[in-house]
Amino acid sequence: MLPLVVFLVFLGLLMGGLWAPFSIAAAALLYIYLEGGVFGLRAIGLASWGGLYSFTLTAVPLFLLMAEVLLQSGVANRVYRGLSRIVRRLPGGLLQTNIVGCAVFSAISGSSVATAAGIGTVAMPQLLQRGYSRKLSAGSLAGGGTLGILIPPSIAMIIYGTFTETSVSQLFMAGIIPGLMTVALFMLLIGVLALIKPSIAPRETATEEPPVNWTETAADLLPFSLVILVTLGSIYFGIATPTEAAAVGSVISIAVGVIWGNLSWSVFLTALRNTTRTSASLLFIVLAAFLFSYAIGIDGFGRDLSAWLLEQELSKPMLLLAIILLYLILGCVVESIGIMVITLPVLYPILLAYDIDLIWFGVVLVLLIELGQLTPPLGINLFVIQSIWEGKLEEVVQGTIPFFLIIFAMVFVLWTVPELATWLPSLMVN
Amino acid sequence: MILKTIANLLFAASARLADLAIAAMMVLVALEILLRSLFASSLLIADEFAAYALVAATFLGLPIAIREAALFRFEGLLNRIPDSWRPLYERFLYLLAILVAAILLTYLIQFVESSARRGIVSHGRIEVPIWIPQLMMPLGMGLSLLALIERLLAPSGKA
Repeated sequence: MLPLVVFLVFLGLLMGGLWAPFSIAAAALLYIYLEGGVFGLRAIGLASWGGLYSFTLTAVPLFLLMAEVLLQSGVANRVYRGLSRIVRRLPGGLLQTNIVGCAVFSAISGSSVATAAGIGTVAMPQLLQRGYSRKLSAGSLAGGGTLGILIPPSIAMIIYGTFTETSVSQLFMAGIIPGLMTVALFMLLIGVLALIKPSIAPRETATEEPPVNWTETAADLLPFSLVILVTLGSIYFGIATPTEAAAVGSVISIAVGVIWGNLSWSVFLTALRNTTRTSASLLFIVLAAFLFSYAIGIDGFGRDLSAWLLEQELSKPMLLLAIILLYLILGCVVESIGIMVITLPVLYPILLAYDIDLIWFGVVLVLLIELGQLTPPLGINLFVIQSIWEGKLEEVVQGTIPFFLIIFAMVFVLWTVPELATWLPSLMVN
Repeated sequence: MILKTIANLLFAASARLADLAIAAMMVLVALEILLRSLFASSLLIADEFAAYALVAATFLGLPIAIREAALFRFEGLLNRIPDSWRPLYERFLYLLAILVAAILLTYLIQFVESSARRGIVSHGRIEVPIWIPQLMMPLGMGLSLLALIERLLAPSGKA
């Protein structure tokens, strides 16, 4: 009963407009107090320190910094330009560039918000000016943005790894194939839609433009590729942990920003300040969730629930279906990273009891979180797109639906063929 | 007025320190890899100090995240509240946040105090008195509380 009451309090505060981390922290404090009294509250300090004093989590600000530096120095714009020369000739034109742009940006960014905002701010004005379908322009950017946490690096995976003590490196690798498949399906969708209904995308024909200048295109794409190669390569070959890769990636991004972009001291300071702001707000959510999971721990709710579930002798598919359903519902009402960190302490013993592969589940969970990022009223990617254009939120939501369905389908694809996630990690060095 | 100037200075210093912590994290970890791969050597403290920097960056970055409205919130209900009631309702939300921050601050202070009293040092190469990095937690939370109080007094600012 108590967990339900606390959860309702949390939901009430969140929907009422209290900031997400404060809503989680308020619920956690209430939970701890009701469970352990004032004495219980005395553990807050240790739980906070124990949660945040983590080398693994250090990767969060470092990957944010890497993406910010590339974005602020204008290197990300050059990538979009370079990609658009090649990709816009496909049916769907610049809408395809949105997807490929998001995919490439995802490989240096661990955040869906940064990806949607980074590509969105560059792409949106051009899309609207050239008369692309408004809904699909918004939808492809919001949907494409979610690739940020599926294609490594991924902040969601770093946090998942921290809570479940799974290897973040393996999680990263597990996301690659499902990520690329999602990209392919997104592009296929846009291509088909453009062929069926040509009005959604004006033709970007080769006759209107000079042929692709490959040297220039290579120059636009090379620096980015370098950063991606070094960070992901060093993780794959076991040379560096994700945190180390993030640090090296940031250093290289700075070099790339100076050489190929317009990174000056003041631009760097802006990137750094943006990183500080974003990482503090993200990690405060994580901190609040650590308090919440501490409360669940002293309450024994997680243990009770998993014991109860095991008594029900639920089959594994039924359990997975229940979990998927749970996240779909929660995704509508709770902020996405928040969902993950609140539910994992409860879910973790159940996953272990059912002998569910934690790496595989991590990828499935990321897909489910992506769905949450696209569902109103709290889908964060919807708001990101909403904040960079003058249209209505309803248009964004409608445009997002096809992409939502593809991600949803990917959950079941992974369920049927788990090797899509587990194969690459199994090949890794170490 | 003087109070406000002092507060602004504190907020600016806190944010700058958080920036610095993130930059230090990057340099420290990158240096460690460089030493390891080129000279088969190690700083021996990189992991530990990077994690200290993470705690510092999170807590000291929080006041600016609050002041610049970077924290995620759902505005669906807020936007439906009539303009005349909105400041009052916002104040109610700030009061809730202040309560949360005040409780956190109280127990964070207690925690650091107890670490200092018991003279706990880190297990690493350099035996750091653990209360020093831990002190960033109550410092940041205290300034966050101040930032929330500032909001409470002037809720009209963009939230």
